[in-house]
This record gives sequence, structure tokens and C-alpha cells, in this order.
Amino acid sequence: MATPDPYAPIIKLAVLVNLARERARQAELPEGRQEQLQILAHRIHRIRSLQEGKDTKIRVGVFGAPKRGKSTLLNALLGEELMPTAQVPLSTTTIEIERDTSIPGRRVIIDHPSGRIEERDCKSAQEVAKLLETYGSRRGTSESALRLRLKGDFPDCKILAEGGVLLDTPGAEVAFEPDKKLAAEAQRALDALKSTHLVLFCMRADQIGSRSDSELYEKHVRSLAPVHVVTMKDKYEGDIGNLIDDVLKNYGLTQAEPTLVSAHQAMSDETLGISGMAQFEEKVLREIGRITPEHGLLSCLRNFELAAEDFSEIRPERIHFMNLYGEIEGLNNDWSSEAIKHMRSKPEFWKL
Amino acid sequence: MISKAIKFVKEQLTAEPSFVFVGPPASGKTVYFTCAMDRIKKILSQSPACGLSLQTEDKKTLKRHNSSISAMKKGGWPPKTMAAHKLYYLLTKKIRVGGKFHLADIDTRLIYHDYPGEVFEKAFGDENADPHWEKEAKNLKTDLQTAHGVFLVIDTPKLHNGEDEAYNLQLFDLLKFIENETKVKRICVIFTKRDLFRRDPEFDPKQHLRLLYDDAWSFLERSKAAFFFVTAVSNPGSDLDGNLVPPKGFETSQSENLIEPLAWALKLQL
Repeated sequence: MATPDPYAPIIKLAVLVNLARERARQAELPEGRQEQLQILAHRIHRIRSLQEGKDTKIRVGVFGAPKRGKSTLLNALLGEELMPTAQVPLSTTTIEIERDTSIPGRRVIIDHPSGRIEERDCKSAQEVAKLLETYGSRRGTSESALRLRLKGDFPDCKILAEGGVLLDTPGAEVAFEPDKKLAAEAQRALDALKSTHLVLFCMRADQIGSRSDSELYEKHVRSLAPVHVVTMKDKYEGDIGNLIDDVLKNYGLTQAEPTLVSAHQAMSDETLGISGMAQFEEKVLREIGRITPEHGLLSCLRNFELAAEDFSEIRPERIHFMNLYGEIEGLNNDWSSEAIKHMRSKPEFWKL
Repeated sequence: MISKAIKFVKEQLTAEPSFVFVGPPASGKTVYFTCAMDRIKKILSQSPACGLSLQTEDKKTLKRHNSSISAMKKGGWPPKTMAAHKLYYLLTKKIRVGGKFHLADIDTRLIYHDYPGEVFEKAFGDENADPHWEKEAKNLKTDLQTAHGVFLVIDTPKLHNGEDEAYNLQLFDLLKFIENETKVKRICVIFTKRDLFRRDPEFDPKQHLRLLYDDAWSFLERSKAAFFFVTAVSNPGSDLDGNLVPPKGFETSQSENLIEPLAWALKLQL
């Protein structure tokens, strides 16, 4: 007897959601409702891209306009100053950080534009930062690499320990594009966005609602259901409650709450506790968990209910619901039982 | 004497029977028709002993047929039918004497009318439908009046979903029109997308049709319609966006009950 495919239900759900999206467009449902379906479709897309080992690791990308503290945030997550940071926008190349316990120390792998791939083992954090700056930043003296990979043990980074890959991306300036070089870097960031399972969208606490943030968010990020990260919270002088209200208002968030962090505070033992990094890391790990078919299915079922309730006209034909139910039932494990129980609690919605 | 006999037979067989495909939007008319014709062509070409062959008659039909099949082999669907198309095929019968000497070919020209589903909606039941289809709706009725046969394509998931008042009206109007104003001899009901019902092998769309649309059912019984439950594209996959798409390496040989409806309408023994 063939082993049940854990991805089978999510595939059926993808069909349901896609049909509902098409009907929502035809029925001209409110844009907010259509967007909920689009975000759900993207979440399902992310889960399915892990299917059959097409992607073996969950890629967590840090995105944002230039100078939003992306590299600094990554340094705080890694517990070392490995990513180059500076006062002027720096990163020109996406840097992929991956755990590899077989490597003593740190290894930087450089994909040169000529096609040559170079591996450099580094003994110190400074050496890593220098290499990444040389081949992946505007301050570098060499031609930017096409791709940079950093591998090592990284024992303190829970996200990498859980099998994630962290991506540091160039600042994406899509609002102004003042010169060609920046536009090319923005394009590289947007290319990286396409292969990312989980997007961490960074905005600065003291610049909430800036045009560059808003344009990037609306055009490219909103539909990807990102984790909203407000960086440099220590630079915000007002009331934190007002800061959260500002974020919710400016980014039209209804279901997601932003996470406030200060990488600067995280670098000191005295202020680590108030930096928000632990909560941020937990949130990212929770989101990674939801990308697997096991944990993602139930959450996607609930999201579909939220998006399609009150609009019976967009719910597809009964056979599609029956096929979804049949696939879940066929798995016969703990998490599928939970999903079945949930569907049975709303038989009318799920056309059972 | 023999040549006179051939001429007589030719005249009898070159009556240009025409068939009309009707059904609501997205019921699977074009996909079914394309796959079925492709399959029949292949079967006949592999069985020369039967003396029959089927080919597209004109370049336009050939182009449309090839582009639809090629789209499906690449994991896509034929483009949505946005205008009425007349598709011409030639069914050729080789006349042999004593089963050996080839005397002549007799061509039967088959004409198929493929209409967008919206035209069906405009022509029957729903007068408030988009006026854009007004002219085509009239053409559809004219084609039906002279048609030899009608293929009524029913979207099985929609039928399974339960009664649809608008569809009931459309079906009733169509069948009343066929009964009163046409010379249609053969009605073939094709229930599509059988593949989606694999989990429910007992499901019988014919019974569903009888229970939900009894007026239409009575007419279909009176006219001795034939019913077929088909899968044009077996085991469709789903792309990352959730679109159902033909599987990799799609071949019409993987389909189910595909040629039976056309063979029945054309009285072909395949």
C-alpha cells in the first residue's frame, strides 16, 4: 500500500483557494477580501514549494528599503558581527547564511561573475565581514559577486539550527530609483524575494510610513504575508503603543502585529532582555513551523474560512471540498485528525 | 455499373453531417472535443484494416487542433473559446472490392460548431446575459436547426453541487428548442471531469440529472439520448498556484470513455 502523501491535502486546498480567488474576482468582492485569499494562496504556495525536496530548507529572507537595519538584525540573530554594516547603503549582493556543522569556523563561498566559484575559510568574524564587504558591498574594491554564501556551525542561531537559511538582501529602493546601480540592486532583492519561503519585512521605528517603505511593501511584499519587523526601537522616543498604532495604520494590518526589536540592545548583555530579539526569534520559528504541511494545513483551513465566510458564491463546487476532506482523512494521523475535527465543526462551510 | 454504384454511395455519404457542441462556460467542450478527435485520428491511423481515416480538412482546423493539443502536452489548456468556430474534418472510407482492390475513397465531411459557453447562456434561458453575444446566439440557433447531432456538455462538478435554477432554465429552453425547431437526430450528453470523482466510484451523473432536472430528463429520454461520463485529461496536476493542469507527458490515450460519444454519434465501430 502506498504511503499517504502529507502534501496531498494542501494540493487540494490550493485548488479550492484558486477557484475561490477566481470567483472573488468575478464577483468583484471587496479588495480586502480578495487580498486575504491572495495571501492565503501565497502561504500554500510556500508550503508546496517544499514538496518532494524541490526546496529542502526553508529560506528566510530579510527585506526592506535601504538602511532599515537588515544586516544589523542578522548580526544580532547570528550573535556575531559578520554582515557588513555602515552609515551608507552597502549590500549589493544577496548573502545566504546556512548551517553546516562539518565546517570548522566559517566558510565564505563566492560566485564570481566570471563563473568561477571560490571557497575561503575564515578564522575570525572580522575576516568574514571583510570578505563579504569586498565582494558584496559598495565599499568593496572587487567586482560584486553574483552570490555569496556563508556556512558554519552558528550554534547560537535557533533559526539556522531548525534548518532555515537566512538571506541578507540588498536594500530595495523601488520608490525613487535615483540611479541605475540602485535599481539593479533592488532587482536583485526582488529576485531573492521570489525564492523565499518566509519574508521578514524591516521598517525603522523612527521612519514608519516613509514612501520607500510603503511603495516596496504595497508593490512587492504585502501579498507575501511577511513578518513585520520594526527595527531600531531604541531610537523611537515616543510611546510604544503609538508606534504600534502607526505601523498598523500605515501598513493596513488587521491580523498581524508587528514585532519591535533593537539589534543594538541585543548586542549588550545588559540590554539583551529588553531588545525584543527573543520574542522575534520565537515568532520566526513559529512561522517556519507553519510552512510545513503538518502545521500549515490547519492554519490555512482557518484562513480560508475567514476569507470565504459570508460569501457563499465564491466557494467552489462540493466535489472539491469532498476531495480535500478525503485526502486529509486518508492520512490518518494526529494532525489530520485535528483538521478533520475542525472541518466537521463547520459542516456547512466545508460542504460535508 | 460499378462507377455508378460508387457515385450513388458517395452521394449518400457526403451529406456533410454537422454537430454542435453546447454547454455553459468552462464545462470542457473544447478540451473534450480536441482530445476525442486526436484519439480517434490516432486509433484509425493505427488500424488501416478498418479502411477508415480521419483528418482535419482545412488549415484553420488543423492549426487550432495542433495548438490545443500542444498546449496540453506542455501542461496548459487550450485558450478559452472566445468566438464561434467551425471545425472541418474528413472521414474517409476506402472502398475495396473483395476486401483487396482499392477502388475509390468516399469522404464524409464532418462539421463541428464549437461555441463559447456565454453564447449558450445568451441563446437559452438568460436573455439578460451580455448583449455582446447576441449575434452569435442567433447563429447558434441557426446551426442547431440544421444540425445532425448535438453534444450537450455538462460540467459534472456543477451538476454534483446541486440544483441551479438558471441552468435548469437554460437546459429546458435548449431542449424545447431542439424538440420543436430542429431536425436533430442524435443527442449525446457528455458529463465531463470524471477524474474528480475517483473517490466516489458509485456516483452516477445520469441519476443526478434525472433527480435535479426532471423536465430536461423527460425530453432526453424521449429523444433516446445517449449518456457518457468522460475524462478528457486524466490525473490532472495542480501547479503551485492551485491551477489544475494536464499532467506531464499528457497523452489522449490516458483519457477515459473519450471516443465513445463521438463514435456513437458518427456510428463508428472502433
